Amino acid sequence: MNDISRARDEFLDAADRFPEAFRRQLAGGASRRGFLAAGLGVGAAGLLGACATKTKAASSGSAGAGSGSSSAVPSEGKAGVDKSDTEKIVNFSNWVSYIDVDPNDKNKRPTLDNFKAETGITVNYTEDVNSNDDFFAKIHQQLAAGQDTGRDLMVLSDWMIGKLRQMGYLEPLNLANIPNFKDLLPEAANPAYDPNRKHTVPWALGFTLMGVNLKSAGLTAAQAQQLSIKDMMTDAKYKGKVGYFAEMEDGVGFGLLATGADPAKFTDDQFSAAVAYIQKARDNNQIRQFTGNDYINDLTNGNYAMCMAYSGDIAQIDDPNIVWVVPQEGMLWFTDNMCIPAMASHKTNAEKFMNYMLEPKVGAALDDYISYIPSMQGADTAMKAIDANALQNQLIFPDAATKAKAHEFQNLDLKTLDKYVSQFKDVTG
Amino acid sequence: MTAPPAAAEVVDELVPGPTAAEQRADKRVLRRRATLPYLLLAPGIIWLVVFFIVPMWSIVSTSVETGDMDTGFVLSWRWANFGDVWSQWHQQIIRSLEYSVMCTVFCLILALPLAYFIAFKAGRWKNLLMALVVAPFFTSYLIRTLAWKTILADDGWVVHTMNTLHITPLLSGMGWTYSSNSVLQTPFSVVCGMVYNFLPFTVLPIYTAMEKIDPRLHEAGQDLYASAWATFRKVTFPLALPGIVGGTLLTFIPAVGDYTNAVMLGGPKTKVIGTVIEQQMIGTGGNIPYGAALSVMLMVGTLVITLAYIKKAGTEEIV
Repeated sequence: MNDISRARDEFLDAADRFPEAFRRQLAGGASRRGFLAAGLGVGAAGLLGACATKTKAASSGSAGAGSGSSSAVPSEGKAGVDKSDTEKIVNFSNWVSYIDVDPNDKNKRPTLDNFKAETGITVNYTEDVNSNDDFFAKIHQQLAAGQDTGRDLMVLSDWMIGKLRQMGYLEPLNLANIPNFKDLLPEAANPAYDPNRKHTVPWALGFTLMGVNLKSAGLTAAQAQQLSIKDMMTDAKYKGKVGYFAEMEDGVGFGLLATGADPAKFTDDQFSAAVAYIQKARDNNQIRQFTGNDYINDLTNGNYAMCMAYSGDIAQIDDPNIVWVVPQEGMLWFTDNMCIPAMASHKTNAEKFMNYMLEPKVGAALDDYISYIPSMQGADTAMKAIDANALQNQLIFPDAATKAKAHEFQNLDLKTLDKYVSQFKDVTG
Repeated sequence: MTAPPAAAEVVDELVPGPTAAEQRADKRVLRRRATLPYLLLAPGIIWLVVFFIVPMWSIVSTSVETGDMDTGFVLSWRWANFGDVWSQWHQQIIRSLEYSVMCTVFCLILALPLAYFIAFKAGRWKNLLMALVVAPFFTSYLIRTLAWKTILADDGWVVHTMNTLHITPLLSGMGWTYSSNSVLQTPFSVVCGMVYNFLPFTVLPIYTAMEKIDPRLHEAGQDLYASAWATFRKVTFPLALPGIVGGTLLTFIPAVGDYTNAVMLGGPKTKVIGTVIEQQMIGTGGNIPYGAALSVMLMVGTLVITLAYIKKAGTEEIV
């Protein structure tokens, strides 16, 4: 039955990422087998879904009992059987468009290919993260039941790392496999959501800011730079042409900035005021859609005049009509991190990959392509050889003035986080 | 003197009774006759049990469970789950019903003339036209729905034409869209997508019913000085009614639970009950009993509406 439910989950995962990623996954040999199994098993899986849940609930109890009492949350994710020595693979879940692609062959990813050439380890790369919440929902049942999620490595944002870590779903890293760990930039080495980075290595750092379609907004590039969050949320000119992030940290972060609060340090009341501010924009039909990572098409084809955006996404668009804007009120920092879920089958391989990603030339090549901020020392030197222009790019090597406009989001305990997430979900629907 | 034997005893003596062995054989035959129908029914019954009763039981029992994802769900017969989900999501349930009723009505408006034309006027183009009705099924449902995002994009020619004809302000005045120069992410675009996706389900049964109508009945109508409209109303429509009822049901029932269109073409104000169920069952909601309770509620609601409709429509022959 576990096989069936896993097949069902895989199938649903795949179906979630329609249609481009779906096709891409079909093209990738590793997941094809899983997809076929899912196709065969899906009818029975739907039928037995409820039974599967019960079984999991039961086995979750026994897994808990093994590590102490059934109600106590284990502090660290349970280790699975590490097959790294015999199976030279690592199953990696990442966000869409979050890795470099060979300009001559879209199916080739140089970073992954070079890793294989160096270590002999194949990376089964799947772009199945569209939002932290949705991805958490996908893996939650398996993690709660103490099962292998089928993933050895995944990239998730700061607050979700905090949540998974507090729930005991992440495996602690074995630094013996990650000698490059010492080269992390000091400011990236000890984040509040994962003290001393016991469980994570940064994949990319970046900003949550605004993306603007100049034509659709009727603005010049210079005018666009003057935009504020308040303009986006209240100016009738952009009514029904605004995309907004559905994730609590992003969405409320902008709300807090617009209402004059500090995202790094706010009260319950300020939080509620920010949510009410967003609710009002939604009720007035100012906000057209709440989105995950799937907002780019609507911005480029003019359905949005402007939207919340991740810095690198906008920088990757090769279109002078689409610009990134730091709102007058400021913007948000985010960090996406590689982590290893409990019960992963190829933990050592995953750690070797983390180590590889911390090499300055690898990190610089990745960040040159995806336009995010490298987090290891020596990346600037390495970047000189790859793309000297990138050193002037504020999204890759931001100066002090740019950094000063970016705000961190307050670190929250599990209970508050869940409360805030559900409060914001009432707005996003 | 002994009394003469009764007639029955005489017969008994003349016709020897079945021996014990024969009686056993008879019983076997009888037993076999009694069990044979069940054996013949077995595949159907097994199918029903596996694909209907077990899942039904599973969903109903899940709907009265309590718990959470981390500790597991236990069957506690908490019927209050139904009250909870109704108070929390009745808006989405009602919205789903509204959208599917609208979708069904628009489908009928489009399908009746189309089926009529294909059945009676298309002549040798009949098969080709029917093939065209079915043709969209050769593309994936998701891709077809996604295509509507391009068709209805703000910069697309459809919206431009609608702007020129002042249809968009009209729609927004009616509350079907939210701004005067776009239609995506509104109830209008969701219903558009639904009508497009479900139209063949309405057309096919109506066409089948109409195709069976003898064209001479139309001639008879004309001979009796009925206008074309009167012929349609008095002859064609009643004869096509089973197809119309069937088509309505085939459209309405899946439309109630459909959420692909709402997710892909809708916005923050068009969330339907299918999305809520999905979120509770496998998504961020994470409360499986709530999802199950909503499914049961939706199923019962749809069933009641369907039965009422069939009763009202007064047709026994469906499709």
